[in-house]
Amino acid sequence: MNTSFKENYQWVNLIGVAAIYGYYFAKILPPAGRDVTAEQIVLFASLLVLLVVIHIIGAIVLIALARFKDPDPDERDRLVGLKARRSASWVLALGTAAGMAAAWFTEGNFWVMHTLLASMVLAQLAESATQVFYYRRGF
Amino acid sequence: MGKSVSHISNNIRALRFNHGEMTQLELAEKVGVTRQTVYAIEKNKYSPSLEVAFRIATVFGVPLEEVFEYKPDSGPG
Repeated sequence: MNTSFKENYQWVNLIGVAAIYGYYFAKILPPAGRDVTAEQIVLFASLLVLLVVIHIIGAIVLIALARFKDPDPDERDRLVGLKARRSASWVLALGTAAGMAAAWFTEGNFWVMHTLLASMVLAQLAESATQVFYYRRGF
Repeated sequence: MGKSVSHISNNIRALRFNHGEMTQLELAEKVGVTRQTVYAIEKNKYSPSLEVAFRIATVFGVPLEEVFEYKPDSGPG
């Protein structure tokens, strides 16, 4: 197997984040009111804890399955990381602009909060997907 | 997936074979990179920095041009 712990962990992150936040957004949309409710905050906090648990279990399983211990990141890892963060920063910038538009055009805090949350989630997905892409395709 | 994206090819696989069938892990440890990076370099999926390229050549005790070869696009003329 020529995939590293770092690459495999990005798969765990991609799947975990997509599943957890996908479920969250599926549950809360369409919104019941103009503001974020206490139930939504509780749901979000619960799913956040679940996401942390998924990450911990994923890391333990990957370490157990790894044939070799991964050394510290080398120059290729650092380059892949930089490319990934560049992708994520574009998504975050667009999401912030969308959040500002939501603040301008909608009433209450629901759409502003969730536009910003969605942009953070998408930025995280973009970062992981970019890493997986460059690790697999090369550059 | 797996398509070569570099104009730089290399003879690392043959050099490893000629040096007592050195493994990718052994080479990676001597050079100071991960085994996956050695694999990526061998498969032309990653062009290393000059420093890593020189370190690889030093491990095999050969000049850089015996490890790496640059093949520019063949333009007109």
